Amino acid sequence: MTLGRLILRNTVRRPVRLLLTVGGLAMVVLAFGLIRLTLDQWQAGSRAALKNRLITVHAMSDELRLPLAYKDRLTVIPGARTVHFGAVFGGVYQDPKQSFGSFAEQASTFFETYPEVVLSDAERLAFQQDRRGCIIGHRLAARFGWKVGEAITLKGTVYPGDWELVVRGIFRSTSPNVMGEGELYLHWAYANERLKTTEPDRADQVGWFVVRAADGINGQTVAEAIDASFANSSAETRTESEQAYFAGWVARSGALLRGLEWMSGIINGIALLVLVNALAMAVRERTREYAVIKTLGFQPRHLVSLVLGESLLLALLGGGLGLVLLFPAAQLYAVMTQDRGYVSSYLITTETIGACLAVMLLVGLLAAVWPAIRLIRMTTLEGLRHAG
Amino acid sequence: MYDPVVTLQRVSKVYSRAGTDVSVLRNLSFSIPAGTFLAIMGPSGSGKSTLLNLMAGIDRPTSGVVVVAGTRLHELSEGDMARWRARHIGYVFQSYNLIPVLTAAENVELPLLLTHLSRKERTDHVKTALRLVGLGDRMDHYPRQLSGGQEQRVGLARAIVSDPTMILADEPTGNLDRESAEDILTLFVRLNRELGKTIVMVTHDPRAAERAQLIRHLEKGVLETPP
Repeated sequence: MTLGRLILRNTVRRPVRLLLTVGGLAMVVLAFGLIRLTLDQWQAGSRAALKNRLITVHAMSDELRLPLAYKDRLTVIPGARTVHFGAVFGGVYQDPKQSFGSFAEQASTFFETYPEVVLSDAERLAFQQDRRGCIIGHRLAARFGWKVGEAITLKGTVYPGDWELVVRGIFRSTSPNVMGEGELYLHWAYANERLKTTEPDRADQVGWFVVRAADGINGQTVAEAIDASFANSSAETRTESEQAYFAGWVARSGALLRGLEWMSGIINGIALLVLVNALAMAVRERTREYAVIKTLGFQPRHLVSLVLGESLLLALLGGGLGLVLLFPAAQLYAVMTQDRGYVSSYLITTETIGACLAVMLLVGLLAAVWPAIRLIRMTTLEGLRHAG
Repeated sequence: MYDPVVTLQRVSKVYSRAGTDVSVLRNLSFSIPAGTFLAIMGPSGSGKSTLLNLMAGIDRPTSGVVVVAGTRLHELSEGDMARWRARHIGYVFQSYNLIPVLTAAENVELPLLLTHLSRKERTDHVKTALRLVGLGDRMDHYPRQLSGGQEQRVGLARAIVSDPTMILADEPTGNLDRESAEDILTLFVRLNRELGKTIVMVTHDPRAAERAQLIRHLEKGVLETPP
């Protein structure tokens, strides 16, 4: 017999309450974990982005376009190794609800710019040689059942009209948070060619340039040189590392992220209330038992350890169950949100697991405070007279 | 060996109820020699349980001095009082007060967790105590699997397992049928006669009190002087 065994027996003595408490805590951890995952994934792009990959966009807004002619001037900027460009294509498949990330890119520099793309040499070549070709991430392929060689028709939103494309490759990504596996890439030249006839005013414009700084060259210096060369032009540029660009994008979503962080805090508060309620009921019911234990000679610190042990055990049981449920829930969440384009995968990191466990430990500690104080204040005589 | 085990000097206890002071014990002075089996009798509200609680150190007098096992109890802090109680007092409750999630053996072992005994030594003590009360074959039973009489015997085993200086029993037969009550009282007599334990039992049952060596009556907070 040890006090640990008494803690264990006390914890499981009311199975229904145990089930409800642990279940409630597990749901809380699940919600907290999913919010953490969303926040993590939102910031993962920034963490995984390359520092020497510079993104040049219109200085006034990401939504505005830059002239294709800037390419030649970028190429001669000292330290610029590769100059790539692209634009949002905005394709949907059959139904507007079936949208996904789709981008028109310069095919000749695409693979050099994005080494994260894993594709066979034959597929790379097939894509580059076919102006109507496209490559798709394996998750997108799985979503619509597309195969290599298959002809697909997309409706363009940014580039209007029906677009007949041929799948030339299905890729995986070594960094899904930067190069999503639920996305489609087609030739910018093909998209631009059509635009010249349908909307000539919008032709020969790009959404962004991507400049890879040469090895050993400070990317910041190159970025400053780029922006300086377009200063006082009709379309001034803003150039920053891909990492800074993603970080800025995340920061612009600040209100939403802060909202999610607030929600995390509220959820933890709910967990605390669930546990305090369960413990308070348990301690009230066992007041007489605790008084008997005191009569036998146990000290207030022993009673505190009984309550604290039970609180931590409940919190860890709830946290553990919540974490077990988090894995399938994250997969389900990824499937449900894969067409939104923002979040490409839900990988549960050790930080997320650690955060969930740390929060539950903290909740377990805090929840024990009030019942423990009540027990410390309770005299043995009051406890023995308790009619609970 | 402490003799006398208990000494009360001018002890009074006043409770404040709804703004009114109620005097429960009035200026009590007496002592209990070591090895005595004393029964304290009295009607409900006479202060019997209060007197027992003062001797056990789970209540404090309003005035006066309580010395038990050589210790002036009013000088102890709550923590020291608990430690002292673990060493000197075995308490038997009217309603047994066993921990329902622990087996008979585990309930009896509980006070021994405060000692430095090894697990094996604790187990040996528990077996001895339970055999002494005739429950050697019920060690793994939970309280809900025991009769009232058996539960009280477990309670008695828990009170004696750490070999305390004195056993205090608050209406130990109050919830038992006649036969079970006789069994418990016989155990008290054996503990007193064979092991020399000092026992103070509070009861309002004259038949129970008759089994004690000494009977004192408490009436309206005053202890009757023996003839």
